[in-house]
Amino acid sequence: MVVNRLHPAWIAVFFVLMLGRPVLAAGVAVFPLLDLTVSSNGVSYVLTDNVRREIAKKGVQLVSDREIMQFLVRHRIRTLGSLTSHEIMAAGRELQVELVLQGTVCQLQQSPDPAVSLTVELIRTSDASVVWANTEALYSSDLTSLLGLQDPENLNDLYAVFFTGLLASMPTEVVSSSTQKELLDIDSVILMPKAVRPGEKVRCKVRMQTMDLGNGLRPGLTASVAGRDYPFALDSEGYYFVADWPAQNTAGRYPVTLKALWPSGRKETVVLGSYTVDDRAPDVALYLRGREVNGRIFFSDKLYIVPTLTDPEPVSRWQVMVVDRDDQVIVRQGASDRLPDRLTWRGRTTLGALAPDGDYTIVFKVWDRTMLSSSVAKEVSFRRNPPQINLELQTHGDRITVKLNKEAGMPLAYWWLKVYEQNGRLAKLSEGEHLPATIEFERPQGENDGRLAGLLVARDILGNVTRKKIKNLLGQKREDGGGEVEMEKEWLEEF
Amino acid sequence: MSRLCRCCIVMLLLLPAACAREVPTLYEFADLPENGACRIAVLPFVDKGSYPRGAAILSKVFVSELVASGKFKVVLEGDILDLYKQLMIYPNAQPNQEQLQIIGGRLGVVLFIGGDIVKMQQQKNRKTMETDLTFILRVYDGTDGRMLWETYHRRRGDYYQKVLHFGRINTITGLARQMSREVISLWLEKGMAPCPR
Repeated sequence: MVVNRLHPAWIAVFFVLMLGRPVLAAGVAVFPLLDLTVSSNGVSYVLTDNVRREIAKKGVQLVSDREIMQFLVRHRIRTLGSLTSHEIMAAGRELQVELVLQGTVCQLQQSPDPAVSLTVELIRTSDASVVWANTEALYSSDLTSLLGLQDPENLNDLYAVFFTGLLASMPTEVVSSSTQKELLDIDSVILMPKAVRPGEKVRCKVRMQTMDLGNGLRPGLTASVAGRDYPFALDSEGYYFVADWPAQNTAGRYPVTLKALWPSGRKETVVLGSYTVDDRAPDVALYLRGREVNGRIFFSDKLYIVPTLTDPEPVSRWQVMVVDRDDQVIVRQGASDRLPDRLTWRGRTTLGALAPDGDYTIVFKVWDRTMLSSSVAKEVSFRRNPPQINLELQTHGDRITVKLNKEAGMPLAYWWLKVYEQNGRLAKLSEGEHLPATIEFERPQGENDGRLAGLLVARDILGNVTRKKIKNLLGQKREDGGGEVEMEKEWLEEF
Repeated sequence: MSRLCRCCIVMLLLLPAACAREVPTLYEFADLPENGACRIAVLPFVDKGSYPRGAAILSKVFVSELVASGKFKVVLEGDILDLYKQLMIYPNAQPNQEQLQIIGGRLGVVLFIGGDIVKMQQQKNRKTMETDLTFILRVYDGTDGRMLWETYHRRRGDYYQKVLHFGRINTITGLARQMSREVISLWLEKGMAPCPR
């Protein structure tokens, strides 16, 4: 005879099917709130207490703040509001709670008008998933009524309604997580080196959050690179899983994937990082910015040195040298850094002394991350001496002839000669861009006592300037020497 | 009033609305993954505004609104910051594509959301609090770090004012929450597939 009654097991199955996974009456650990109004690492105990009181009203079992503080100290948690999965799960185990509540004070001000805003999230400890979150912001004028009666005046007036609103929708029961998952829970990865030459050894070290996963629970781990698998083995200290392999022969970037095969047969893959195989030295080009004359670079004040990589890649080190004609290095500078955008050489040695005029070689050397190096050299001429101008004077009666001549050197940008009478009147002005030049003029008549003064200025294309002040032009045949010629150090138009 | 006159008035009223830029503005560079956008990681935002710790506030508010929408599973901020530490990425820097690929693989996310705060401001003006927020949010593929969508949004708190002071948003957090909701609604409307129930 069939008894029309259900077996208790079937009833249990029915409830599980109908209600889904079991519902837990939650114990909650309310962690101190991060207070961003203080600093990026601030904490607000006042608002935390308010949150705790509001949650307690819901009849939820709360973990004492002393236990939570001990947990924070035990796990060396220094930043609140952003706990990791491991910390959440540890809180679940050690504090015996199903839920953790963490939050952040985004705004909190008493004046000019009170305002408070908070964001909170409720996290299930069994799988560290966020099951509920809410943000609430309240400003005093949000509670201002039309008649202005009982308007909030301080933060406590806001708190009276704020926390109720913030936590009104917070669930007090939580559906338990479906499965206790097998976790490939990586704590840290060290993949060295990041750039390697072909054939050199690459080493990958992986540390799991829980290295001792229990008997038979440890997955088989292999590093997969370019279609080949390299098994991981536990190091002698039992701290890292380590795998080594030779770098590939072909240049390129190689991603490294961790493959895990669990005893249950489940496979898991995780990208660990990548490294670059480099078989070529960096190709560096050098641009010198100075004045180019007949295909050669000249400078007098500043030489801009611009190094570039024709095929850009990260560099580990660079060095620049200035070498003179005797193969002596007069400047050496470098850094373990990226290439500089531009270097400036002001014609001085490393010790600060001014280098003599002459021809130099700029050598720039660069090393890439695998320490393959290349260098480039360019010639440059340093000319700091001003143009040497010879002035020759001839007189034929009242006629005066001045011959200007330039010794070898840089071409001139311009020159001019002014001849003044004794009373300061301009007797002759002559100018040009090329030398030699001949200037002829009549001796001025009048109360001049036969004395004339001259000012000669010449500037070469590099900016070097010669200024000669001649007090008695007629009183000398060759005026370069002699006591009456003065070399001006600064600009003097009036004299 | 003649019919023509009324039509002209209506046209004049509608003209400014037609010229105004519609925000939030979504730019779609590529399709979202076909298998939905269930598990999402919100990366720390890059702060180009002047509000103290504005990026942290917006990022926490945005995560909160994603969770509150009930459509997505959001990775814990602590897990992301932990990976940033491992990969030596500054929290105020945007990871490169390779780093995104590594983070995505480690966290098992389908999508990343990153973004920039362009302007974040809250200041007292006479009797009212003026709030102003402009941000750009980007959606990246969780497997290869490609940028898929970009959304620009800009609002001031008085935009939401209805009558008298009612409706006006007086806090930057409140404005961030409201704007986050608008962006999430737009994304869902444009086809971002939520977690299956």
